[in-house]
Amino acid sequence: MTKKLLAFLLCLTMVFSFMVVSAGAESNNQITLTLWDSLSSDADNAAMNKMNALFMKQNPNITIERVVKTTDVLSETLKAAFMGGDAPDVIYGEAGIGDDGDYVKAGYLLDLTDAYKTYGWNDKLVSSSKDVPSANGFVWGVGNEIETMSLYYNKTVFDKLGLTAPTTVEELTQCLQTITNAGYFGLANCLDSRWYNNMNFLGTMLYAFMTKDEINACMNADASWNLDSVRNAIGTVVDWLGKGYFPDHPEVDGDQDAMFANSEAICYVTGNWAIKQMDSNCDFEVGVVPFPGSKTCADGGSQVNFVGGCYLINAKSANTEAALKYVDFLVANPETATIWAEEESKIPPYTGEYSANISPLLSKAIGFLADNSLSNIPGVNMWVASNTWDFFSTAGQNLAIGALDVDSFISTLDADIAKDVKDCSTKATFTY
Amino acid sequence: MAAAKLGFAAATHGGNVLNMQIKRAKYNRSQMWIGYLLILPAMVLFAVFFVYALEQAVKYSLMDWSGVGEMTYIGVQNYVSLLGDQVFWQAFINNWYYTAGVIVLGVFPGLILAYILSQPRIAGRGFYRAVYFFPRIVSAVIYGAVWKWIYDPRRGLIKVIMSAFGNNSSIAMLGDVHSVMLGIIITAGWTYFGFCMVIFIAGFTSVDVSLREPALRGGANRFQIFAHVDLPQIRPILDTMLVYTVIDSFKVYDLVLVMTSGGPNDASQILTYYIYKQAFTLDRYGYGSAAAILLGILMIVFTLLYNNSIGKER
Repeated sequence: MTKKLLAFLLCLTMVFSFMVVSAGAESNNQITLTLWDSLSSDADNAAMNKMNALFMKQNPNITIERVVKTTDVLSETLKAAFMGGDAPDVIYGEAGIGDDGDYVKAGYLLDLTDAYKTYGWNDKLVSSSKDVPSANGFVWGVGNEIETMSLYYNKTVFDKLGLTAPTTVEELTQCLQTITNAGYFGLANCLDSRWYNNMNFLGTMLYAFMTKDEINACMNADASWNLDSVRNAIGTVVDWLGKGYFPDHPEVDGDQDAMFANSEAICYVTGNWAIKQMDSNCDFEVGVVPFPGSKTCADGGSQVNFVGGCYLINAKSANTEAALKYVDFLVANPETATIWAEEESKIPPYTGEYSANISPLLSKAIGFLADNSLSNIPGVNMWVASNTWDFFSTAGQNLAIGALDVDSFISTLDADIAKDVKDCSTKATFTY
Repeated sequence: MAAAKLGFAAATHGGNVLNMQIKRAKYNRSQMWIGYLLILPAMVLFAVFFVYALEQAVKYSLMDWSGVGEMTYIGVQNYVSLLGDQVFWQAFINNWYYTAGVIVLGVFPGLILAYILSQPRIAGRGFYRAVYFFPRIVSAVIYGAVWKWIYDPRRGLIKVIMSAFGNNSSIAMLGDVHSVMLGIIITAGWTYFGFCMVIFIAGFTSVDVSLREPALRGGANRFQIFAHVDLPQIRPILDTMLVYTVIDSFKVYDLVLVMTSGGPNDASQILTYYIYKQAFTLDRYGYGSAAAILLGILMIVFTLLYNNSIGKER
C-alpha cells in the first residue's frame, strides 16, 4: 500500500513538472521589456503609457513593464542596478557624455551605431539625436525631445513701446534698455541656484558670440575658452546685470514663467518646453524669434539645441532585438511623433511626415530647427563633463553676485576643463 | 562520628550548594543563548547596514571611482586632496555655524519656553505646547519652501510687510553670501525650539520642587531658583540635548537643498550636501566616501572630547 502510494505520488510529481515546464515553454514566447524613465509629469506619464499600449497592441508577444522615477532618483538607482546586474532593458534618461559616459566605459550600454543603419535612423531622425549621445565613434543612445532655445517676447508691450523683434544681440540690448526705462524688467531670466537657469542662458549668450568653428573646437577638441567672443559674451551678461535688465536680485530663485506671464518681464530666453505654460497662462500675444547673434560674430551666431531625453539600451539585456524594435517604434513613427507633439508639446526627433494639432508657438519652434539658414548646435550641457558641468551650473549666479568676472570666468572654466581632460571624460579624450 | 556526620553534612550541604551552582550556571547559559538569539536580528542588521557599509565606505575612500565600472586604488590621495579642499572646510565651518545658531535659536529658547509652560498656572499651556511643536512635524522640504518664499526679495512675506510700512527696499537674505547661512539658521531654529521645548518639559516635570522652598526662604528670586535649583536637576537632559543637537545639525541636508543648493558660491555649503554632490552629482564616489569618513572621524573626536569634559565637570 505504501509502495503504491509512493508510486502514485511520484507520477503526480512528474505530471506536475511537465505542466510547469510546458507553461514555461509557452511563456518563453512572451518577452517582457523593462523600462525605467523619468517622464513623471502628468502629461508625459499619460503619453508614455499611451505609446506603450499602442506598441503592445501591435506586438502582443512583448510586454512593457515601466518604472517611473525622477531624474535624480533614476540616476542614483541606475548605477546600483548596473552594478548589481539587474538594470532594465531600456532606460529613458539624460543624453550627455557627463551623464552616460561612465556607463559606456563600464560596458553597460549597447553601441547603437549599427542600429542607426539597420533601422534607418540616420535618415529618419534629426542629426542631434545621434550627435549628442555619441563620442569617439560610440553611439550610446537615441536622442528624443528635441529642444531649442529662442527669444520669446511680449508682443503687446513691444508694440506699445514701438519695438520690433531684434535681429542682433546689440539690438536686443537697446530693446532691453527701452523696456527697463518703461518700468518693466527686460528679462524674465534668473541666474539663480538652479543649474538649468544658469547653463541654458549662458550657453545661449555664448553661442550668440562664438563662431561655429570656435564652438566645435571647444566641444570636440577641448580648446581654451580664452577667446574674444567669450569675453564679449560674458561681458554682455555682466553689462546687462549692471544695467538692471534682469529681475531684482536675479541670484535668488524666481518664478521666471510667472514673471513673463504677468508682464512683469517682457523678454524671456527659454526653450520650447515653456510653450505649454505660455499657451495656458499668457493673455497677451507671445512672439518668438531665434535668439539673435552678435554683430561681432563672423557667422552670425548659432542656436542652442538640446536633446531633452535619450533612449539607452542595456548591453546585457537578454532582449536586445525587442528593445531596439521598441525604441524604433517610439522615435521613428508618425503615430508616436504625433503623441509627443500634441500631448506633450515636445518636438520629436522624427523628420518624416506626421500630422499634429499644435500651438502656433510650437510650430514656429519646429520651424527654427528645420531652418537651414540657422546653425543648430547642441548646447553646453549636452557635451560638457562633470567638472565643467558643475562650473556652468553656478556660473550665472556667481556672475550675478560678483563672485566671477570675465577673466575669472574664463580661467576657472579652462581649469575645470583641464580636470575633465585629465579624467578622460570629454568628447575629445573619451575612451571606452 | 560527629565529625564524620559533620563532614558528611558539610559534604552534602556543599554538594547541594554545588548542585545549585551547576543548575544556576546551566540556567544562565540557556538564558544567555536565548538572549543572543533575541538580539541576533538586530545584530545582523547592524552588521549589514553599518559594519559592512562602513567597511565599503573606507574601501571606496581609497579608490578613484565614478560609481560604475572599475575602481583604481589611489591610497590616501582623496584624504590629502580633502585637506586642501577649501569648499570642504567652508562646509565644515558652516556646519559649526549652523550648529551654534540652532543651539542659540532652538535649544535655549526651548529651555526657557519649557520652563514657562511647565508652571502649573499657565492657561492654555496644552495649546501652546501643540502650536510650538507643530513645525517639528512638518517635512523640511515643505517648511524650507515656505521660508524660501518668506525670504523672496521680490514678492515674499518680508517684502510685503516692508512695503506695507512704506519701505520698498528688498533684502535678498538667501542671495547674499553674508546672510544666507543666517537665513537657513533662522528657519532651522524655528522648527527646532518646539522639539527642545517638549524634551525639557519632560525634564522640568520631574524636578524635585521641594528643593525650591529652602531657596525661597533664603531670599532667592525666580531666576536664581531656575538657575541654581531647577536647571542643575535637568543638566543631564541639557547635556544630552546639546550633543544630540550637534549630531543632528551635522546631518542637515534637505533644508539646504531646498533653500539654496549650497549657494550662492558655496556660502551655504554644508558637509552632507557636499558629500552627496561629490558622490552622486560629480560621480566622485571615492572622494565623497573619504569626505564622509573624515566627517565621521571629526564627530567621534568631538563626542569624546565633549564627554570627557562633562565627566571632569561631574
